Amino acid sequence: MAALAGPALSRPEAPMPSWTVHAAQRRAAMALTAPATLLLVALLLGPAMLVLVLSFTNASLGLGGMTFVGLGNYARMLTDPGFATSLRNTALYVAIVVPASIGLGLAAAILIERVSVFGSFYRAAYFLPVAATLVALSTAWEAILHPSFGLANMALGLVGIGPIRFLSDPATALYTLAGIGIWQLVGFNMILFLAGLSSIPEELYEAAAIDGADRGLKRFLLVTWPMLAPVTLFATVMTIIRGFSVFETVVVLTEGGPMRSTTVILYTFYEEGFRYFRAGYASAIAVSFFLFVTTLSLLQMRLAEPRRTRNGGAAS
Amino acid sequence: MRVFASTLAAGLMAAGMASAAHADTVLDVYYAWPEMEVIHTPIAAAFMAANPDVKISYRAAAPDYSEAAQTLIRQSMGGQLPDIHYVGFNMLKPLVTRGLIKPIDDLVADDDLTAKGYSEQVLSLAKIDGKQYGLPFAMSTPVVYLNADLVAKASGNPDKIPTDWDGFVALAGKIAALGDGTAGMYYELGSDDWTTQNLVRNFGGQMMNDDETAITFDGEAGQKAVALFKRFHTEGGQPAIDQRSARQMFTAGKLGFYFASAGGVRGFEKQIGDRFHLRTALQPLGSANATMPTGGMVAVILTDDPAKRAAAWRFVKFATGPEGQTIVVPNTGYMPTNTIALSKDYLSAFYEQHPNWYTSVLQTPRARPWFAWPGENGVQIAQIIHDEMTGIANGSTAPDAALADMTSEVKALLPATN
Repeated sequence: MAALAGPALSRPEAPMPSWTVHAAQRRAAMALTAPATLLLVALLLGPAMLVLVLSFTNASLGLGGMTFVGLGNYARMLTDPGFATSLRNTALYVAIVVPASIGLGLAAAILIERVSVFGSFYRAAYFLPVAATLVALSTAWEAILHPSFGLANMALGLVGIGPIRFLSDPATALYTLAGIGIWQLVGFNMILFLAGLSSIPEELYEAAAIDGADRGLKRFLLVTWPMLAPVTLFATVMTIIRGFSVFETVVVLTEGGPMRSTTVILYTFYEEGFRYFRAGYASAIAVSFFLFVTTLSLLQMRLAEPRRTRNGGAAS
Repeated sequence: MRVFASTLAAGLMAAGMASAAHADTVLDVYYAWPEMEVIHTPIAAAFMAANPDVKISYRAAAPDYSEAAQTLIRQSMGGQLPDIHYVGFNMLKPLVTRGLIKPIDDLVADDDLTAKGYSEQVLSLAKIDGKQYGLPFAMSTPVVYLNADLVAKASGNPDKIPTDWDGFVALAGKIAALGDGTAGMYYELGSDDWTTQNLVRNFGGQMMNDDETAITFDGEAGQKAVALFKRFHTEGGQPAIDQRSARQMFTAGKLGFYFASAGGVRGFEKQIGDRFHLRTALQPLGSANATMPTGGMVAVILTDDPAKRAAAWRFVKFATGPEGQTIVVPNTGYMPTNTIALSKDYLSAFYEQHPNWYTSVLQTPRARPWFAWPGENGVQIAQIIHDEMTGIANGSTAPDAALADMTSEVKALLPATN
């Protein structure tokens, strides 16, 4: 739009009536944005709308004919014991993974920022699980967690514990997956916190030192932690979304078992849509999941805005 | 660049001439399990050598039977179905219900399949409501894989393991008692209800009655089946671990008996190598009228084009006939679907040298169709049964309670008329 306005304004010798300029501009703008809009509709909005429409039907993949069932699929989600189980599992997973991976990520970031020698090595090492393919790494975890001759049980055996049937025992499977989730997300949060730490102005620490908060917990509580608030908020929301989206480890390691103990929302969605062919119900799950994640993101934006200005004021 | 272009042009012309001269019909073939390339590629090569007017072109393999079925359903909506597919026995009915697979009774009527080595029993595996939908291509039943070294150590006879469940479970318990992290046995639940059907059939039962109007697996046979499965864990030393871990234990030589599809003989032999002596044995039987569900796949024709259909019929007969089966059996462990393949000209010498392969052939008389649940919820029903059985394995559900849960949950998912 700005580029279009340029030439139009640089021709003062031909003063056109303003409505003509506007109409021409509008036409040009429409012509120029049409390809992008078309692609957007065809590739993003169209399928999304289709999913929304499907979620109100009883469509089954490949079976001709579907009927409109209104909010039936959504009502079923509320009463389906299978969905309730997967919701419970996912909530438990998120409740473990989010605080642990944020706490550990923050701790790792603070420690790494302090060391000068191996800083970049630690950074790379912690970030490795984020950068690598989770599916490939899951296979490595499977070998480590083997119930009889995995590395984990060998190590536990040395101190007289176990063996633990990590992924085969319904009582431990979800916690094991949560452990893998934490292991992966610590690196992700560490990078965010490192960025946050580097943006804290040095003068604040100097000012705090004058006030007597020159080290340790005092300094952390007075300067570091408040200054990291926006980053923490962002990290929390991102980790919650990623926690709710847990899928790969479930597919590769447990397939929702043993005894449904590790079925999570996205796995239920996959099962309903792609194994049981219930396109309508799966669409309803997808739509609900999308709404949930969007709400979370909007909430984060709403919360982050005033906070950022308040901190900005404090810093100046 | 010019050299490249002219080479390309020459190559294209040569290819064009070659295809014009030989391949009049191109058949798209789709199969599941990428590792099965070892049988599909040589079958196509042998067929094209004998039938120069037909070209076989394979699509990229699906990871398993149900993914293959999903892909077919999606392709059917876009009109991109392959001409031939090897459908898993459990996926035949859902795809027939969706109208993707059509009967081939007209082709069968014009042919003499009995003379060509197709027994009535084998053909019935691909029959639904009296209509023939394809020719079985690979069959397997569950067999016992055994670590002969461990069996001998537990003072059992690897050549003659017990044929009754009491004796079998007792021997497995003895192997588990050997110590040093050794487990007695592992009865695989798989990823569906195939092996659970096997246990019910082992006691002479069935999942539903013949006209599929009522569940029958909650009867006496089913009760015995779940009780036996519990005993595997309490007396036979079966660890409550996932299947992949158990397979690793077995191939590492730490597990006595392993129940799985006979189709895995070749894979097990390769993985185990010289680590221990691997044998296969017949399943112990819980009843004189015991039967077994047949795993494996059926060759089906999806194309409607008459010329392609005729060529596809030739290919399907080749793959399921003695030549094709002579490629399938040694490379997998499946049992042949064609009786001529068992003769002296084909596989009999191979079987003499490889007795581990022959066990499943001995079980052929008891092989019955892999029961497919009526209605649209078959996959979920299989999953529910699988999960309840896992509950028994983990000790969290008593066998009777698990059977009752299964019955009520499955009932709720069957079509309303039942």
